[in-house]
Amino acid sequence: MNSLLGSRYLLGQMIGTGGMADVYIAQDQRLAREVAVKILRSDLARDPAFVARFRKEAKAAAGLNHPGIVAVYDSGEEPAPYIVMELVSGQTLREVIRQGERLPLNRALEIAEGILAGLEYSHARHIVHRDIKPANVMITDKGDVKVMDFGIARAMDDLGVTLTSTWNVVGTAQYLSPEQAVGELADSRSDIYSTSCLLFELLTGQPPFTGETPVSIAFQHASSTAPLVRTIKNDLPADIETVLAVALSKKPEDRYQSAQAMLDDIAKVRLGKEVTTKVVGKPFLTRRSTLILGGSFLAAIALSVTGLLMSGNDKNSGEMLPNVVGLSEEMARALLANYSVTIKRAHDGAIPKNRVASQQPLATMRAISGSVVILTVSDGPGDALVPDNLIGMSLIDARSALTAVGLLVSQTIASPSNQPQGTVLEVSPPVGSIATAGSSVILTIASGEVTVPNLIGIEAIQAKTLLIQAGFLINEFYDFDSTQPEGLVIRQAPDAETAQTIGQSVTITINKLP
Amino acid sequence: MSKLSFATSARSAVGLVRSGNEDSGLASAHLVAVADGMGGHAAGEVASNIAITTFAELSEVFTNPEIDPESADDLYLHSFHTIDQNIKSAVDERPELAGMGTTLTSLFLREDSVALLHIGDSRAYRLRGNSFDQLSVDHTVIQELLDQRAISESDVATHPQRSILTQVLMGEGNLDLPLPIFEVKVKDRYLLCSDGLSSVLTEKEIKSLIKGRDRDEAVTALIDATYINGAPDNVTVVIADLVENDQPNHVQKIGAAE
Repeated sequence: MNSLLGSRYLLGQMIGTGGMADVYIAQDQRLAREVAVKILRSDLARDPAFVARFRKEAKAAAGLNHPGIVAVYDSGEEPAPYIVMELVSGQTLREVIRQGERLPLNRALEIAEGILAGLEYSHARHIVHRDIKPANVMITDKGDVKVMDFGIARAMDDLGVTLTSTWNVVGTAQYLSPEQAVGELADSRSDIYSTSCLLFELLTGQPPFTGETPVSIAFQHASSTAPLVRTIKNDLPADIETVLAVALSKKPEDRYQSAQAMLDDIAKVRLGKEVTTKVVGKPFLTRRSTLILGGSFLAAIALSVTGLLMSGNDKNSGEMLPNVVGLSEEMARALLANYSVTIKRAHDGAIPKNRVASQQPLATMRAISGSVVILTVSDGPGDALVPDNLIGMSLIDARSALTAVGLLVSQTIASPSNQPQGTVLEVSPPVGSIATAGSSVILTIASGEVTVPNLIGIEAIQAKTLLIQAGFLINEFYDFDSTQPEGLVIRQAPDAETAQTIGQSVTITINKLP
Repeated sequence: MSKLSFATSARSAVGLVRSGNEDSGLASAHLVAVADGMGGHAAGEVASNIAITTFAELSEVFTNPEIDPESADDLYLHSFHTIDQNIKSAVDERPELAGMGTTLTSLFLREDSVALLHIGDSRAYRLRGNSFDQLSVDHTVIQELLDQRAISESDVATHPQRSILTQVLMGEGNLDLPLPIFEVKVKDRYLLCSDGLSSVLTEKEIKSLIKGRDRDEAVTALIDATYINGAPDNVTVVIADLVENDQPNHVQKIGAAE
């Protein structure tokens, strides 16, 4: 290409090509200076999603004027969307660090400081970078650090498009924050996380998480704790390990809340002062939040898989559906804004009331924009009928019959009777009545003595099964005995071979690490 | 060698959390199978039922001793395509079932070996003497991550996303399944189960529960143990003991296919 762009920029040599755009050296005819011009690749210029993203990037970055940020001077649309930037003489950090190579501690810290200084400036203007990685950090010939490609703007509503394209085109998830991995919005603390992944790599020669596919790396960002740097390179100072552990916390609120706060701690490391910031280290995906996050995480994974699949396929058959199971109806509707959503309701004990229990078509299926997606919203657990043939059954058969309909025996009361021991005499709630699925039932059974089995030295689940089947209830304790294998029963009361009334509790102590 | 058969015991239970049973199972003298349906309440039941019912019908042909072994294998392997087709037809007929699918794990006893046909995350195990081995490989994202060593075995049990499937029968017609063959020994015990069992009990626990018990008791012990652990999902187990006598050629269907 050799033409005057925007009647002003004379394009010269192509100096780079990225996932989205090609970069040329150009002569600014009006200001008689050399600039870099980034032009959206022509195949992507036809895709409105990319054009919109490119435009947002240009707009977000245009207002930033800081020595640590590659300046954006101008932008335009004809003949293809382009951005005019400061021409930086140097290399990207990706070219500087070869895989597996470490930088000296002070140089690594200098680079991190350079990035953080740029971020502190942009964050103060409410601009989040969202994609800090070595390819987006320039090291000038003088050795200065400049961050480029600010603001891959990502609104919740174009989540699908951007996640797909981010992973499809850029193809790296190594610096992705946990919240971005689960499809949530990035904020300034996401940039701090990504910068820390980069610093981690500068210090150790490897990023905190590696894997063969972006999906597996994203998975780890969301769910695994980052390794401590000194487990990889034990010659690093303890304080930098602390700084990274804080900055790589799974939850944004546990990280440094500003680039400046992290800069302050890095300054302490450099001076050999003690870093006093504490690592909170709560897991990102707690049990309680699994359902909610699980849904959006699945969406992210589904979309990333879409991205991988779509790189070789045509996209005419529609977008892959995100997984919305576990989300509230409102959130699901937001994620499925391009589809015609129909809501049904049904009982479901696994999914809390008023959350999506199932979706049709399933996640990862392709569906054309505007097509129908049926969501079944949970009405909470359903009803179970207490079987009407329980009276007279043996305890074991009664338990099977109850469990088959989704009820649990919580208590057995032994009562004298002329029936064989363990025979069911009475059921509460009564037979034939309706109970909530998953709720418990109390059985009154014919009393009698049963021999307590020997449980010492067997698997806990085995012991519990034996007790339940013999007609006992379980009382469970834990203790640790280093001479015994974990998970085995180490004590029982009453002892084996003693006679005990059916329906009573037997106490077992299970060997478990403290 | 005298004729080998499966002596079977099978059971399917709703569990303590689900409101319906989407699992199905099949037990007969030469074929055992477990299917775990998915895709909304009704649709999951329909899918696993189609799988097991179709399988039961076709098995009359390929378990027929007059069929030559190679044709039997072909028919067995091909039955998954037929099931896939039947799922597609059901969806074409009733569009509200769109997106339904099912896992299917089955063992076909040939002269002196078993052939494993498997898709999804239901499992096939073998207890031989004191060694207990998983014969099937899960088609799950987690398994892929394990294969890539991105996560370790110890992360799996607690991983919140452990059941995302990478392959399932859902009428898409893109099946290309291997047919691994395992030599059998008399007294081998085979266990097929849905993930309602394998996700709440460890391999070690499962082994401790099926070893040394007669098969009916073992099935009961497995179901009871699942309930002790909260039975969050439908649970289906089929135990098949390899015996040296002819078992009656009766086909038992359980769960949604019952």
